[in-house]
Amino acid sequence: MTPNDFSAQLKKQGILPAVLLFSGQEDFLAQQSLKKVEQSIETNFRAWDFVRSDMRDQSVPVVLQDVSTMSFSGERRFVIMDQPVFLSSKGSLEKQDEKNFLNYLQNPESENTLIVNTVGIDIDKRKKIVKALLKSGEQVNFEPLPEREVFKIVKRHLSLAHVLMADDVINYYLRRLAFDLRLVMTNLDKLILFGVSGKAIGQEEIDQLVTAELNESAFDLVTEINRRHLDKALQLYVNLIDRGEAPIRINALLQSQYRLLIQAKALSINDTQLAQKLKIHPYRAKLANQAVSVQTMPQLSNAYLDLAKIDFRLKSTTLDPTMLFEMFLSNNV
Amino acid sequence: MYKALYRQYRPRTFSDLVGQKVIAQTLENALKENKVGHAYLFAGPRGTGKTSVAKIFAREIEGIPSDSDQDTFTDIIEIDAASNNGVDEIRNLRDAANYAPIEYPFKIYIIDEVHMLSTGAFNALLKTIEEPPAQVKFILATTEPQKIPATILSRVQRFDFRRISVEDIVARLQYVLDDQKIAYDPEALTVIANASDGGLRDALSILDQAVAVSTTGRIELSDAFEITGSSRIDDQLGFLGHLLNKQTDQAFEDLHRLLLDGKDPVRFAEDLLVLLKNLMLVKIAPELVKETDSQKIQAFSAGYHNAVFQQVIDLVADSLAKMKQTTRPELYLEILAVKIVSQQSELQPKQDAIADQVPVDSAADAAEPSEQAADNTPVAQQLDNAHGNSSSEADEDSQPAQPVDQPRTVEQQIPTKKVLTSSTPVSTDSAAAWHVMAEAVKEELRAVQDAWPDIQADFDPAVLMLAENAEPVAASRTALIFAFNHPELADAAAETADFVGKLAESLSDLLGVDYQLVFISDTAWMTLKKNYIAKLHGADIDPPMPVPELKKNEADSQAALSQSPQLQPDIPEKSSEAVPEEAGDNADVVEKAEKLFGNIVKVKGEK
Repeated sequence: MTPNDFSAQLKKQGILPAVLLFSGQEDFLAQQSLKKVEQSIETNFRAWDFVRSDMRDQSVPVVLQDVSTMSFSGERRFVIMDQPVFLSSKGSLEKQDEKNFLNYLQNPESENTLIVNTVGIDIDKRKKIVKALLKSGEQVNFEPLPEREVFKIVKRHLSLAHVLMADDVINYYLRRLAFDLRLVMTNLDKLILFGVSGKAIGQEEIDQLVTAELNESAFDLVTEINRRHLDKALQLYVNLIDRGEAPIRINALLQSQYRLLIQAKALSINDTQLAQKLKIHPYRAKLANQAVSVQTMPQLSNAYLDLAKIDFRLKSTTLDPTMLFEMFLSNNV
Repeated sequence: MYKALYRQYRPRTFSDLVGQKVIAQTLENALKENKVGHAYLFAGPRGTGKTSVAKIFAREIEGIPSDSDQDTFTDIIEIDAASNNGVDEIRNLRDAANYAPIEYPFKIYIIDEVHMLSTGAFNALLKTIEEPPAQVKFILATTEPQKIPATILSRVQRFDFRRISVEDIVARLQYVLDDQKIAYDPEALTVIANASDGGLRDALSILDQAVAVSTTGRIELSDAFEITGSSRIDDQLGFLGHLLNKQTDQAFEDLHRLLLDGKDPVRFAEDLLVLLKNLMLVKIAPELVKETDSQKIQAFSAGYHNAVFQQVIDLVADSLAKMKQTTRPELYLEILAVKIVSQQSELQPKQDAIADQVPVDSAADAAEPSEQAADNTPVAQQLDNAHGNSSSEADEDSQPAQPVDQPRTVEQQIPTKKVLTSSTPVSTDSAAAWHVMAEAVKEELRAVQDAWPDIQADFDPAVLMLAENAEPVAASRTALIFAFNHPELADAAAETADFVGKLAESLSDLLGVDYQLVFISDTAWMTLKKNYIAKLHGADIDPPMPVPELKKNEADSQAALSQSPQLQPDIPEKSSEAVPEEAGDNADVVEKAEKLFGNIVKVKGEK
């Protein structure tokens, strides 16, 4: 079942299965679905008919007992198992608990629904209990949305709030957050609040309001260096340091970026091939090829070696990292 | 009661706020739209307005007019997490949060330095932050957002505060001083703004002190320097200039004057470091150097190559680390000065040293002074030309006058003529060795080899190590090649006047010949020999190219300093390794060499 199917079924509650297994990686969507479940219940009975248990500090028998209890309102009750680590290879259940759980799965209470929320957890499919869950329960898979979808969602939210933001700016925004839906949505609130005054949102505002994901920042950094916008590069670096990123880490990321550029230069193939060969995002491949076109191999390898030197200095001296970076700029531009 | 300037001038409204315009706008809109969230996180360096914005925002939420004189409000609760970081404190807070506000519509908790909370405290806070009671709002502020657990981060609306620009800070300081009716020197404000590192509170604190220190009732540049402890760019540049020009006495005068003025040596060394960085940076991005005297920096920077600065930076950084551990940092500052000067002389031509140190009355020199002089005169002209027109012949011919590699990159200050006064010719590059091999005579070598143990025994213990690691490997009637079993030794030997002098003397005594000496490394020798033999067998191999640096012209000579001394020994090897490829096309060789060594390969002129 897809998350959309699940929403549709939720509306006609009668046909909801007794056991549901939420799987996948996109936690944000799963939480949204759970919220929908909660809202589908009448307000007066919500506290009783919608129960979430964190399995890290709740035992299985208690939850099973809970899910076997009928609702007062005669409606469907929902019991959610959050963080069931015992389904992954890292945890396990006691014999008796496991037996109880298996028994319940064979004969679940059809009036209620048990949701086992394994989103973000790597379930161990060799486990008996997992096999039983997969067999008797309906699986709802929450996979990260395709980038196109994320774009559409953002666009819809913006137009609902009557906020102006150009398509390329939206893309810039999404890339900064690496298309992470949760980050995209929480930061969107801020952007919308800024934009309600009627001013169009540009890259400048996004830079100010949205904290970019570290890897993206490193890429930005290299891009700015290549464009010779030194003040911007330096600004980015200082911002990263202010955010508490370790200079060694930033340096390592820069190195990996230059490594990518060297690879791109050496291969000199088109964007799509490069993306496939190096298993990177097509957009990055495009940027890499762009950057590489104006640089010579010696320039790139020089920068790479310089970064190695800085790495050594970061680890062996007390020199100010920002100063080292400025020296790097002065040597490589 | 006197209130510190930063408290007097803490902004009371969003429009008062310096910098952070976008954040202010967003928060104002949230108020207008009535969409205030329940938890905020303000992250950013100190003095960028986190607490100020939190206070303004809290007041606006409560609807307290900005002109209210009151400083504290019953329902705006400020907590310093640094001193209330335990689980118990947070539990108390959580329980108190359940009670309704007293005077105002909301209860607002401002938790400063929230990263100081213990893990347990964070967990206790988690649930409350996720779903606080309707009338409760949280504003968290921190300088170190990376220390906040992800579970908290995902539940708050985060705003990152940026450092305030120097211009904005200067403008604010001007506003404050105008408001206080205090006169000032605008440059002093720039110095203060630079010292504050983007934090307005720091800037205002420094200003506060400057006002107190000022004797004239006007904020002068000297007041700013006194408070920030930094020194004038002029002083720093003067000191550095004296060091780089090897005017040690003047440098020491500068130093003592600064110390007498009560400057902190550690601070001065730090200033030097920043200055050196700016000197490098100004070459590519003058707009990034926001000092008051950027023109002076630019002018100074133009006189030197970045490599010079980089080397000095290493020395300063080393000394700085030591200065921080000792009780007498000024001593290390002096040592630093001496080190920089001596490294300058080390990097610059060695000929003074060799000319001075090799005893003039040694048999070797006495034997044929006139011949040397005669030999050298034409070379002087050729060497001068060589700087301009880059021909390899000039190099080979100038061998007798070439003491070591380094002198070829002659500093402007030192007359080129000086090279010629050096009386013990030692070469360390393969080109010279090749030359010798072309005229090699077996008997000569045998004679030297026979005499070698005696010569070795005669060396001073101080330089004996060099002799023990050297081996005569080829000899012509006038020249002798020594191979050293480590590349760096070959150069070190060439630079050790005692060794060279003694060796020349012994050779002259025992064999009666004044050899021209060539020191190379074992590995270089092996490749050279191989190539030479190949050539004898008919392969078309050109002699190794002379060391690249020769082709630099005068203006560029500083650039050669970038070749740190350790790198030098590699160069002969590189050029000789490139030899086999030269059988083919020249361009091909360059390409191959670049493939092998990357950008270290420098092509300097055609042969």
